[in-house]
Amino acid sequence: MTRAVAAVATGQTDHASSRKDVGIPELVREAVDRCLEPRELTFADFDAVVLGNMEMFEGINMVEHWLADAIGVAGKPLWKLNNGGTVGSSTAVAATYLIASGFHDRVLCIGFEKQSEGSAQSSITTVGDPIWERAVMAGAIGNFAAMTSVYVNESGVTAEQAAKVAVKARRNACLNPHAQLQMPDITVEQVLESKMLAHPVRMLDFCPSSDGACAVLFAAEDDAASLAPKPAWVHAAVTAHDQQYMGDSPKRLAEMRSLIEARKRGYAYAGIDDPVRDLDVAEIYEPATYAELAMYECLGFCEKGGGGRFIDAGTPLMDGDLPVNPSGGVLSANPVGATALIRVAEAAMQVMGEAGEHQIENVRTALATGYGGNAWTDLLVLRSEKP
Amino acid sequence: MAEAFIVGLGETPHAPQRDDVNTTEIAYEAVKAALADAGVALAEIGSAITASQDFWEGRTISSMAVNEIAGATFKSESKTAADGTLALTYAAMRIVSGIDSLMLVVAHCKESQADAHTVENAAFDPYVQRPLGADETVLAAFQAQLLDLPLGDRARVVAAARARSPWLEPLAAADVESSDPTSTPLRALERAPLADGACALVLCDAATAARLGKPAVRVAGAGTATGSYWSDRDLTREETLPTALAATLRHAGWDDAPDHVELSAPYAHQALHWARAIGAGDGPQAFEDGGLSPTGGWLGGRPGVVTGLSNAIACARALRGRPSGRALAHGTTGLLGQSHHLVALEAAS
Repeated sequence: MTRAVAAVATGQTDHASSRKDVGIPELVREAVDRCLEPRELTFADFDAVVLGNMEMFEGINMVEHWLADAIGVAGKPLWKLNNGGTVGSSTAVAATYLIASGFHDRVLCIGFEKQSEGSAQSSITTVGDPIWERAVMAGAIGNFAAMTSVYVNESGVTAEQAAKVAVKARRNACLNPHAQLQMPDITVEQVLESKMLAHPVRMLDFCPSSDGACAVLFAAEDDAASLAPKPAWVHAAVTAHDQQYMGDSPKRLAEMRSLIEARKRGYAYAGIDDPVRDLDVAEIYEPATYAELAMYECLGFCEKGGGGRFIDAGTPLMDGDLPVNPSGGVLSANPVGATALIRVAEAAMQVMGEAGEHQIENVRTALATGYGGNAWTDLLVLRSEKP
Repeated sequence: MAEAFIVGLGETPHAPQRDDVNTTEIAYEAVKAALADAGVALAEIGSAITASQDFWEGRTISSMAVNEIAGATFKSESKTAADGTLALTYAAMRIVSGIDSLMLVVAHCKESQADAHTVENAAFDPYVQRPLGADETVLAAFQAQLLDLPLGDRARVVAAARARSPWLEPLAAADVESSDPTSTPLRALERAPLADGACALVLCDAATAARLGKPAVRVAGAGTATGSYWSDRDLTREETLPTALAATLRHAGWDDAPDHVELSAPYAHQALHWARAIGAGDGPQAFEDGGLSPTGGWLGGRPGVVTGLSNAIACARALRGRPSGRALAHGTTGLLGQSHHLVALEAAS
């Protein structure tokens, strides 16, 4: 890149299944204020906003324009991206290149969703081709169940191993004040006995529906250090897509081709050869427990088919060799338009040493991923060292 | 610093209703034309930026319809939910940053497949304003009442756009004046007609442009700005477009705006209002003379979302092969032009 870019401040709402205490502009403003105020920054301190949201979830067309005054962008450039689950991380990718090019110097990324005021699953059903796919679409859960069955068959992972991911996530979430599902006493048995949603996925295997927002301020190398004591420098920001028809990527979780492609490019940019050795923490977009196991494999954390053994060994736990989702992850809060930006924010917080009770010690390199659409991936690598 | 060049242009015919193609197919028409124009295969494309609005498409993540034909399989695609000029700007900045060297920019919309009133009403504040049932035309009428520009002048702007449109039949100003009233004081023909269409551009860095050896147009700069929501601003004062213009000129290193400006306004009074705001003319004469919107702009039959990229294509066509020359392509997003986007283009040897 022509000039280095860093995340310098983050803010999140307290995510919940329904934030009845605030309207949409207030929810978004809460995240923006929590991003700016600790650094003693104001609306005058950013040049542009890149906003991500799935506007059909809340049913507000061009929602970013309605929010312009609430987010302090009137009179400035306003970018709107809309890429499904990846959209939050896509705003971070866009901010990276808009700053690296010299077009902007400081960009505030915002992602939000207030799913309690809409119908996310009805909207997700419209994601399929209207002629060939939509009639058999049924929101996200059935889709995950189908691809999980293939993954289980191919890899041999067990329901108990998936349940360990659920336990890890909800216990980690207890250390994160923003997380929605904080379950200190959750057990593998509870997960295995939770309500069956669509075989083999159970209630506690799946992410919740959330209201929440996230904001991350990115800045150019010239003044990043003046904005944050320890900026989180972007070493890789890549996107990869799979084919658009679901039937064209039949293995889905068992072979997440877009994640593998993003990993190859992202690790090459960041000089990562052995991710378990070279990464200190990972914040990945895992919508379901089985997905996290599959992602361990596709991210090269373990061998193909080894996702179950990876969690059995404790490697992704808070005290393991590569903690995965110390925030509690998507399994603990999923305001879709914000979710992938939360992964970037959490990775940045770890690098900046600002993750509070879920801080991992001595983080120099952090990974963040976004997942959405028909198995699309964003992947970012953040480091404490300037590239 | 790297520079971005336009080396391939593709555009469908824009028509009120293209029943012969679906969304993917209409976008692919434009993509195929752009690739052929550039002499590039789809497999060579490194990444894509698309522009579409989910509400008009009736599909969440509406870029799902086009990312494969935009060459993004196992590569990068991102969708700007805004006018295509913003997609072009993002793509150009990715090239300038050095991350990409050969890209597609695609904007598409099939307005015939949507219920315009429902889509436009959904852009209003959902808690207080939306239940009142207004749409873009009702809002445009509020503004037109406040501006109080003569119907005759507004009608002349529409007639000028129709006279230059590659896609619409010409009509006289009198036809506009006598068309059905919609929302006082507006007449039906003062609004740009709904249309189906797509545009695509092939964009690359200097080394790739040199390798391809095709006539190229340089993206000299860009600028964009957003104003307050419609109910929080004075509808008779246009401050955002001049802000975007100043940013564009600064970024391009130009002292002033060129003579060739492809303006994008969905209502005739907005064309007059915005032209005045940027000092491009006070009245319909500038449009009739052909200096402003010489290919008709949005009123000339382009689909929303696609209009700005179509304007960029019109500018690029005018500049290609010339030893020198400058042009500005304009696009707008949001109710009553809340956001304005401009791309500055220069002839390149």
